Parts: sequence; C-alpha cells; structure tokens
Amino acid sequence: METLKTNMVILGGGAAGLCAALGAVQVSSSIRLILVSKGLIGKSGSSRMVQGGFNAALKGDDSWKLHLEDTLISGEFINRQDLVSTLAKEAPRCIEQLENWGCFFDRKEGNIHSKTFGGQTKSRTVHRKDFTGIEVTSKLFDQLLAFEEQVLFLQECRALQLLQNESGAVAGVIVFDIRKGTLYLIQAKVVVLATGGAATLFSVKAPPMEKSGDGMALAYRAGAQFVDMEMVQFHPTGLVVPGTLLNGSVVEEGLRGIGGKLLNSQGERFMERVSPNHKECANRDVLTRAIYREVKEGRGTENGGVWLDLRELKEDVIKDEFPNMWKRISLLGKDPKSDLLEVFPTAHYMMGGIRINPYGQTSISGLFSVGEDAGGVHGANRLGGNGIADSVVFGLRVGQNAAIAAINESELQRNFQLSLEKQCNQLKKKLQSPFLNEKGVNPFYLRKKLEETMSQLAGICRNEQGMISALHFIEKLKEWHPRTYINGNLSYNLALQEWLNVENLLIVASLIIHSALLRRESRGAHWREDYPEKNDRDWLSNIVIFKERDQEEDHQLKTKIEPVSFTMMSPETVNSRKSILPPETKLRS
Amino acid sequence: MKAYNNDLIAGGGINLVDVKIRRFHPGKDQHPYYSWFRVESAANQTVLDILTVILQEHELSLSFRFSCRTGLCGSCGMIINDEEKLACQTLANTLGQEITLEPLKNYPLIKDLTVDLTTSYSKYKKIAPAFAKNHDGSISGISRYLKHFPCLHCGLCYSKCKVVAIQPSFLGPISLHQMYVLEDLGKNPFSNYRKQMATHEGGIFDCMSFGCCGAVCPQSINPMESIHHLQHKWKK
Repeated sequence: METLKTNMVILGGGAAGLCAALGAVQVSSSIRLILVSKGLIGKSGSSRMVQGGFNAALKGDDSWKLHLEDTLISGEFINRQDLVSTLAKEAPRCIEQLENWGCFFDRKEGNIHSKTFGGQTKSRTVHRKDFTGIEVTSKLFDQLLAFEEQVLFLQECRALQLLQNESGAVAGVIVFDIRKGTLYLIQAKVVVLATGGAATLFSVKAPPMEKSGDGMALAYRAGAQFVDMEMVQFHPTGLVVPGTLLNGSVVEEGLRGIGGKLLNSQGERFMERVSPNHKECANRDVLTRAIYREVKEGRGTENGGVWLDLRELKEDVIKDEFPNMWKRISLLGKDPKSDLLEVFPTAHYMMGGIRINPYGQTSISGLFSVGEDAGGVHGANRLGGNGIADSVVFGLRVGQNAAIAAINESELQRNFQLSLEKQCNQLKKKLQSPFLNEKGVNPFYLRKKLEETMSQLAGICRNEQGMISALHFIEKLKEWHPRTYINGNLSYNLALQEWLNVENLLIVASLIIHSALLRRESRGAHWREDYPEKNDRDWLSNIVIFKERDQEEDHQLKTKIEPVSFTMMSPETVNSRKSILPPETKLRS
Repeated sequence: MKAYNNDLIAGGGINLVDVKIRRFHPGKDQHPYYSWFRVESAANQTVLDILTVILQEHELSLSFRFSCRTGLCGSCGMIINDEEKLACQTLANTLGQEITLEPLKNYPLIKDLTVDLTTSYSKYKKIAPAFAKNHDGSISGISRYLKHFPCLHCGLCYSKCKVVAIQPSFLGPISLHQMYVLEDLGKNPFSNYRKQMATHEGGIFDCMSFGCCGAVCPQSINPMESIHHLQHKWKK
C-alpha cells in the first residue's frame, strides 16, 4: 500500500472531472491534485459518448433566461433554480473557454452552428458533427497534460472508501489500482466526486457498463444527502439490436430534429397523435412514454420497439452531419434510405444525485460533487445538450471552489474516525473474500438479475407493488453478494470490478426506489401508473434522502420532502406570460 | 490440437466459432499461451460481444479493455486475425470460423489483451499537444481542422507502425499527426519547439512511409499524410 498526500483528489476522468482539474490549476500554481479515473482518462464514462452537443445561448435572439425557462419547463419545475441559472448564464462563456483550449465546434458562415433539440425554443445545441464528446474530452485532456507538475494521474484506479475525520469531514480516500491490484491511501484536504451516474442499472442502457454510481455510493456511505433520486431519464431512441452490446446505444436526437419520424408497427406516425405540435421533437419523457405505450398496447415491432424512419432524409446530410450514426447503422447492415431502424427507450441519465449548492459543496464538509453525480440541475427531465454543459460549467466552477477550499484548509486532517491501518486491512480482506468462495454466484449474473428487476419493476413505468417487490429482491441480491465466486487474482480482474460495481449499483437502486415510492404522482421521467397525474398542489417538491453517518442499515433511511424554492421563475409566471411552448409539454399525464 | 476451455464443443451448428485468445500475465505466467473457446455467434454480434460472453460464461479471469462499445472511445483495440481493429466495430461473422485475438504491439502488456496505452502519452506530451491560448486559430485553419475526424487515441496505428517497432525513439503516428493538426491551425508559440522536435532523431524524417498507420485507422485518418505535410513544411 502506498500513501500519498495532496491538496485535492478528483474522482472521475470524464468532462466533469477534467474540468474540475483545469478549474483547480487555474486557481493557483501551488495547488497539487490527484485525478483518479476508473478507466482511461477522457476515454471512459459518458462524456466521451456525447453525440448531440452542448447547450449555450449564443445567438442574438436567444438568452440565458430562455435557456433557464426551457430547462425549468422541461424539468417540470422541480429543478434547483440557482443551479439552473448558473448553468444558463455560464454556458456561453464556457464555449468560449473550450474554444480557447482548442475544442472547435461546427460553423456556418463563420459563426458557431447549433442544432435543434427537443424541448427547446431556440436551436442552441452547439456541436462538432455527432462526436462532440470526443472533441471536448480529448482537448480537455490535452490541456491538462501541460500541468504535469500539479496533476498526478491515477488511471484505471477506483475509489473504495472515503476517509473521514472524527467530525465526519472528508479527508481523503482509499483507492484500488485495478492494474496492480494494490491500494493507495490518499490524504487530501478536499475530495471532488465526478464519477457519473448509474443509469446502467437497467437491462437496456446507453452509458458504458463501468459507470456504476461509484461516487454516489461513496457519498451515501459517508452520510451525504441525495435529491430526487427517482428521476432516471430514458432516452427515447435506443437502438434495438438483441444479443449485442450495441443494444440500447443512442440514436442521435438530431436525426429527429431534421425530420426522422417514429412509426408504430401499423405504420402510423403516432407522435402526431400524442404531441401534434412537437411530434418527434417533444421532450424526452413525452417520447419515452409514447413509445412505451405503443409497444405495451400491441403496436410495437417483433423485438418490442418502434420504427425510426430516416428514409426521407438526404443521404449526404446523414453521412456528413452524423458520421458516427451512419457508421453505426452501416455496421448493422442497414441502409437508412430503404431500411427502418428499430428503437426503444434506453436508460440514459440520472437527474437526481448528491445534493449540492452552486459551489458544488455537498452536505459533508470537504466533499464536493459535480456532473451526473450531483442532482438538482435537470429536475424531472434533462434537455438534450444540457448534460455536457452541466459537466463543463459546474466542473470548472466546482474545481475552482474546491481548490480555494483546499487552500483555505491549512493542514491535512489526521484525526480519523477509524485508524487508517484498520480501514485498509478491512478493505484488503473484503477484496480477497470472493476469491475464497469455492463456488457461488457469478457477479455478472448478479448484475443481470439486478438489471432485469429494475427494468421490470422500477423502470419507465412504475407502481407501488412492483417497487416493493423490487426492494425485496434487492435485499436478496445484497445477501447473495458476499457469496459471489471469482477466480484469478486481484490485478486487472474484470469479474472483481463487476463485483464492486454491483455493490455500488445495489445502493443506488435502493435509493431510486425509496425515493420513487415517496413521490406519489407522475412527473417527467417518473411515471407511476398508480398515480398517473402530475400533482403540482402536493408535489412541487424535492425528495431528500440519506442515511445518518455511521448508520449501517439502509432501511432506516431518513427522508425529507422540501417545497421547491421559486427564486427565478414559477409555473404560474411562465403560464401567465403565455410561454412560446404549446400546452402539451406542460400539461401531460 | 485445440484444447477447448469451455464445454460448448458439441453442437456443430453453423453459428459456432472457434476463438483463440493469447493469454499472458507478466510476473505471474512464465510464458504466453493460447486459450481456445467455442462459442455461438449470432448475427450483428461483434468481437466485443463474443469476448463478453467468454468472460461472463466461461473464463472469469480473462482481461480486455472496453468502455463505450460504440466506436467512440477507442479502448478495445486489439489484433484480430492479424489486423489491428476495434473489437466493438468488428462483426464476428466477417471473420470466418476461427478468430484469433492478440494484444496490440509496441505497448507494454498489462494482462491478456490489455496493454498500457498510456505509454504513448509520454511521447505525445513531448510535442506540446495542447492548443495554446495565444495561438491565432485562424478561421481558415479551423475550417480545415473541422474536416478532420478526431483521433480516438485507440493506438491501432501505433501498434501497426513498423518504425516504432524497431526504433523506440520514433515519436509515432499519433503524436506526429497531432503536431500537424496544431501547426495547420495557424501561427502558434510552439512552432519553433515543435519544428526542432520534429526534425530531430525520432521525428518526421524517420517515417519510412509504409502507410500501415492510415490503413488501420477506424477514423480514416492518415497519419503518414500528416507527416508528409510536415516533411514538406520543414524540409531539411
């Protein structure tokens, strides 16, 4: 075991983590930080996979206020408004900053071009064809390489446990080196969680498999508060390719923006019926429910999807503006000019997460959170293009704030709750434990069962009875977990990684369901068939959920239901101004 | 003779493929060896799908790297039937009845099919890869830049490069392509430094123009062409 001491640790090598690191080194040349990434920095996680783009109000007829309004309407007004206004105000400046770092976005007549995305009154999604994520993450990493003296990269390492001092403040982290199979004990003044969400909990999903709510699980164990965990976004158009890992990968929203149509098995363009004004450009939650209903009511395809029809689009436009989509479609042997694509909603993003303030501080001293780890920005439904904007805007901001906090903290904490040696020994013993089982459950099987349970009982459509059954099954899986069998050794062992992933996913699954049981209404991504109506009278509120520090059992979860604070805009003010958005985006069941 | 590591030997259906995987864990194994698996291969399944089945159902200790599974991250590069490819972008049914999987070359091996891709970053860092703030980034430079597909840093070209194989100081296709992209963007403060770096030993004039790099690039980038542009710009 190696011991390291530093000012700050950032967990996560996606856009949020990279931006947090760049934000921190800008604060002072004296800042030293360690960037810990479970995969290769900039190459793992979801930021790399961003196809669509980055929302920023850049055009003359657009403004941060319209961006704010669209985000709040889409989020069904349970977003935390101070976070949304920060996002909308700072996004244009971040685009400028990104271009200064060599991330160039597509242009038309010299100006930055933007796409039309669902639920937005203006076309404000800035992009680089359909590989915006590669452009952003690779250029952020290039920039960071210049700060070699300040930043230590620990790639293919995962955090196992936060270190807390006697008063509960976070003072470091224990990290497992996936390649070597050894531990690092890192003492730090602050820790930033930027590991992403856990939408991989479902059978059909878009994010990379290694995203397993690690930051959320660490924060949960440390006693942090979570907000609106029931809000899990399903992207309406995930590819249906049974039996392959391409199943659930996203078909870019921009293709619907330029005229891609959704058809049921009877050939009907059902979005004309469901959302006559927006059709395929309606919000993601509207499309997801509509597709789910078509399939449920027997108008789906053989594989349980609907058709995406791109036949009327110009071949050159798809090839030129969506080259990765073209490649993916071609890989499947399809020709968009003659073949229909089979699609179904795919688990995509978690709007809920660790509760933060606009400085990225969590409820635990010394612990910051940013990106998909954190909740509150997107409310009940995230707009396409707001995800990477969130990671960059808050990444830079939270990185700076965490660095300032680290500078202000004069010394490393040394009075830990438990002796460091004891904590490390406990972890070593735990890591060895599945190798000692002579036979047992395979961790991949465990994950499959968890995914099936979540999809069937707590996915797109939920009810109380189903979710209670899901909780019971999750308890069973928690009992099975210690009996898992793994062979080989600790270094680069994918089964061991999956075992650790499942442990974290079980925590996040449980938080999602507990929160979803409390919200007795349907709002945005949270659709309850036993409470199908949106209920503004009782539920314009955030659900806060957490366990007390040192409390072991999660059936003693603490919950709080807090009314939303309408500091910028309320549903009434928007309605009274006769917002440009037609009624069905606001008044839906 | 094939000794299968799983029990799916019977069957003989047309969808069965034999997968031969090079195994080696430096420091643990004495010698590299091959494991054989017979697996079912369905339509649309990629090599990555097949590897995942082998891992989850037959060989829990097998190592390989992947992330996005859609050709965007460049993590799953390996040698598939003697050719550098991304496992997630290679359909199994295009490869015949026997598939041989080996780790990328020119990188230190971590375990089985996983190599340490980060080693080429030490060379990459040498060329000052970051876009500098006082770089002019002219519109014409940017419009040329936007026509390039971005490099995934998947390492396929670096593995295929015959010069890297015999001359470890060669900066290699990834770094030199990035150098060309940055220089093509317009005037910048690192030009002189990069010129010096590029015209020294291990730089652009050590490229032997085999063209292997461009042939394996999943993004259709041709690093050799980028190197030729730099050779023309900074003639000896």
